[in-house]
Amino acid sequence: MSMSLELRHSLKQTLSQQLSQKQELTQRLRLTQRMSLELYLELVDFFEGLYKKAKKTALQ
Amino acid sequence: MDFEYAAISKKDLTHKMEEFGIGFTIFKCDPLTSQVIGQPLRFVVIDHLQYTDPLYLEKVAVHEYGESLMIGHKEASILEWGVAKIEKILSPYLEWIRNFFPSKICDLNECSLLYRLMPDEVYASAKAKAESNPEAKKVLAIMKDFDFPEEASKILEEFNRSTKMVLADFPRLQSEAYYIVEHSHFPALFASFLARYVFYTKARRTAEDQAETLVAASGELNDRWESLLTDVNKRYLDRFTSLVSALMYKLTSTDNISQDEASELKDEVDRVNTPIKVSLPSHFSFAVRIGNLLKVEQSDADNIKDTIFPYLTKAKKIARLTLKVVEFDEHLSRELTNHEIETMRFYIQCLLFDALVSLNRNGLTSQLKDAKIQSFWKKQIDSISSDFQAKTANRLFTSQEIAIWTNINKLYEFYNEFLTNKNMGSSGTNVLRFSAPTDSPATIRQPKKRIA
Repeated sequence: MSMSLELRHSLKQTLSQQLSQKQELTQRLRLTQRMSLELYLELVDFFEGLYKKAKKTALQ
Repeated sequence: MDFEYAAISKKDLTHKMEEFGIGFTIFKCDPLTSQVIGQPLRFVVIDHLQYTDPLYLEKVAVHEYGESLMIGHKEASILEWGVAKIEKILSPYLEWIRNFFPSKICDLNECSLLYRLMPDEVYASAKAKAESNPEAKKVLAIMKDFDFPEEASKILEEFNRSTKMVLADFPRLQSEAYYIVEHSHFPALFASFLARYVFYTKARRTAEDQAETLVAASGELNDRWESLLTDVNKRYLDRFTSLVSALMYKLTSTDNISQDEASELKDEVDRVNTPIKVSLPSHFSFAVRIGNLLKVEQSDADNIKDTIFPYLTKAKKIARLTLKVVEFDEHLSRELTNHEIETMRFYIQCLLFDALVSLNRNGLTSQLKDAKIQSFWKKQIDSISSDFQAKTANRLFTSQEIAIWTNINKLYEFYNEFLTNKNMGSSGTNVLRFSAPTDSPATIRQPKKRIA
């Protein structure tokens, strides 16, 4: 079954938001100095989203 | 042990995020109190390398688990290696780490990168939580039976030997840099360039000797590098403060100064006043990585153009932002900062100077008298300058610098003086009796060996 136009549009919008969040974050990130709390919270937000979507592996 | 991790792909990250490593952990925290909350989010990047044995990926996850519980890289490594030993894969696994992630072994006191980037207050909270975490205590109890593996000790010894060798050269680096900033007779901006060039060549040579993997994350090297850089920087600023004041005075007190002259002067004040630390990484390991990036295969060409072309091409790439020597990601959509512009400018100069070193090494300097070569060089530098200005909205050189950098003979003259200064610095001579050669530069064929 093909995806409805509306769903496709919404998915595209979500993906483009995620992409711009990722790009914005990475531009502000410096690998040689500690982050501000504000930037860190944005990083956490981004990685929480990624964690939810990712395939999880349990280890015992 | 009972935990889960998320298996992700490189495509989920930006290039800069890939620097977090093959495994990393994110701690959630309360936005008001900065206190760590909930379970840490552990990630393993399954395609960080082209292929990784799934068993090794699991050990990476074990490391992340241990490090996030105990906030200690060494403890996490002992846990990870202990599990690898139980699974009878310790030797090949350590060899794999040695090849791909040497820093994980050579600096056991240094936590993974993200721990060094977290805000101080979040890190402190994670550390405090680790001390009272019952799960951490449980893991520490398991670890009681895990020794520090002999295989790891051997690799560690090898790293220490390599680090010592690199450190042994630091006193020479120090005296050469001191000499240039304190006693040399170069114009201020050229002295600033050469002092930094001494640091750059040290990092580039380390990369050329392929020792970068062995010294990648040695905390001792990073500390020595940074403190030396700070010291040279201070000496540079001490010496040239009066020049900056004089230029400022000229700028503010001269009547009828044209707009162009004023802009030139302001440019010069800004440039001379820029600390030399700005364009060099404060970590030796980063400097080695840039040295690696700027490495040019040594050519045995018997003509000038073929010898210098690879250097000019790289310099052009920096000016066009296609070779990145500063920390911006793949999609640059903002203005470059002064720090980034100064860094690009410095590495372009390094490559141009390296081109001369290469000419000297190949014994081709007699060809510098050829007017066609002089004009070829000038055209190339003009083209690089114009690309640089187009991308950064800043001039690559001040007008005083242009006279040096576009004239290959003049630059070679300065290169010879630089060698004299380096020797003076290394031999500890305190007084420089320097007279600039007035004729064409020396044309003696040099043996093919590394000179600068």
